[in-house]
Amino acid sequence: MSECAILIKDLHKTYRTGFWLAKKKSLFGISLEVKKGEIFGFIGPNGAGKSTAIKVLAGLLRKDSGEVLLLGKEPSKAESRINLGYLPEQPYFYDSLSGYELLKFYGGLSGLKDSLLEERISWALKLVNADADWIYRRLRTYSKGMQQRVGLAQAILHKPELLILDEPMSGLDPLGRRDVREAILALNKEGSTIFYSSHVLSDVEAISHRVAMIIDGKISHTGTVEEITKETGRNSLEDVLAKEVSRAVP
Amino acid sequence: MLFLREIYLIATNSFREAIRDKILYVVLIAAVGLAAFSVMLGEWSVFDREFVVKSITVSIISISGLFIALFAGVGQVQKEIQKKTIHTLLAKPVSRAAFLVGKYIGLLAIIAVHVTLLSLTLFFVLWTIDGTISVPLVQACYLVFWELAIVLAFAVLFSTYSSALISSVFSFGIYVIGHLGDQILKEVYFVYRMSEEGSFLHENGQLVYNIAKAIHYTLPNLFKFNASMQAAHSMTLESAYLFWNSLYAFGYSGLVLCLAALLFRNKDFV
Repeated sequence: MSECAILIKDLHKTYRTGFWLAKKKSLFGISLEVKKGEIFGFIGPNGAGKSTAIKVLAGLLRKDSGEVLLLGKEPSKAESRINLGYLPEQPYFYDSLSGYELLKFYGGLSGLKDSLLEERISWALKLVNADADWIYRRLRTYSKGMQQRVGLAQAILHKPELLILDEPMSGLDPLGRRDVREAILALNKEGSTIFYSSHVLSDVEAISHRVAMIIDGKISHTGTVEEITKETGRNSLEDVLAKEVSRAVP
Repeated sequence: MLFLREIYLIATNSFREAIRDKILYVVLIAAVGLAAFSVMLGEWSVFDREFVVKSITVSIISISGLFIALFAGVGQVQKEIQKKTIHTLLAKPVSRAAFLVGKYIGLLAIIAVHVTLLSLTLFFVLWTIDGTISVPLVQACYLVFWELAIVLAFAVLFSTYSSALISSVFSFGIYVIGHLGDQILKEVYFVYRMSEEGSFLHENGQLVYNIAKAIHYTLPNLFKFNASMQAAHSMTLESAYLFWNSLYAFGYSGLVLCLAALLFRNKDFV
């Protein structure tokens, strides 16, 4: 158990959405184990339940039933997030703040002391390959790529044991994607466990130790890229995903 | 200690965000303009000019503060939810209760600044017309702050589970009912007493009176915070009255925030 960074057992989640608060079941008893030190890719088509599962892990959604542990603690408790770094899909920030003010604010909330903040901000910006000169500009002037970088920087400021990234490469140009990929590898080398979702399957194949595929709220495959492709007799994750999606279509 | 640090950081951020919001300046400038305009009203009125300036400006401080409580209180919490900035924030080791309390304190600081600035404007206006800046006037401004503290707590409560429009309407309703609660109770009792025995009004009067009494005691008694007449007539309020009203506002706001935290605890952020 102590080797597990993330443990999910038989997780079910239904939430209410829209004006009439209609019920929508998104997760149908998923189970996963992410070991400490892994880079774990979480893939699936749009609407499969990736973001829902990630939001349960980040404490933003409350589970219906099942067991979820984040470094051995329930995600609904604030202390479970002391060693967590989280980047939401399409991160939104306070646009009246500058990037620097935002990082100071989030660094403080992550428990970093003022004396350590400056050093960590420089470190994080360097790691995500961000120019130091735009960090003093208001966030409303940032491009998508800049927002994504500052989003990743806020997630890693306190050097968390576990990083959960929801679509960290979405909307980025090839250079931006390369920077994020390299940042993930560098953080993993420093000891962080990375759990991330992505639609860019070539990147997932390139950097993940293990992968889980989710289709219609159920885990269809878990294992290394080789294990999954071998098991399904396909050449790539893209082929496996295409096959699973076509099978799932009624 | 960590809880206090979270609250401090969120309150500071909330204050900074509100300070950079242009709409608050519009409210403030409009209120300052109206305070200056009260001098002209004093000239036209049959009452003493100083009396008019004092009573009108204290009401302006209260109503403009209400708009700030609505814009900033409802706006900030709703913006966090709608724009999803709350997703990054709540993924930090921050409890949801700390988020709400921090927001509330930051916005209360904005209201304190607003009441102080407008009170200073009022004193300046009085100085220009050779009026007296009396203790009752300061007391009236002080009570307006506590009145707005209660309304702000309701604004935060409503915005945790309903839309910005509905939250604003409800908070405005609390302000109106809170001010009229005493009057409504008296009117209901008067109608009941004056109705003929055996009439429909008399038969059901007791029930209606009990309902009005329940509403009166459940909703905040904001009329107790309206000391504009005392200020205008230079009648000093007893310090015990100020103390118990402050304690009432503090306790009431605390209870409303506890309820907000309870509702917010299991909210899903989709």
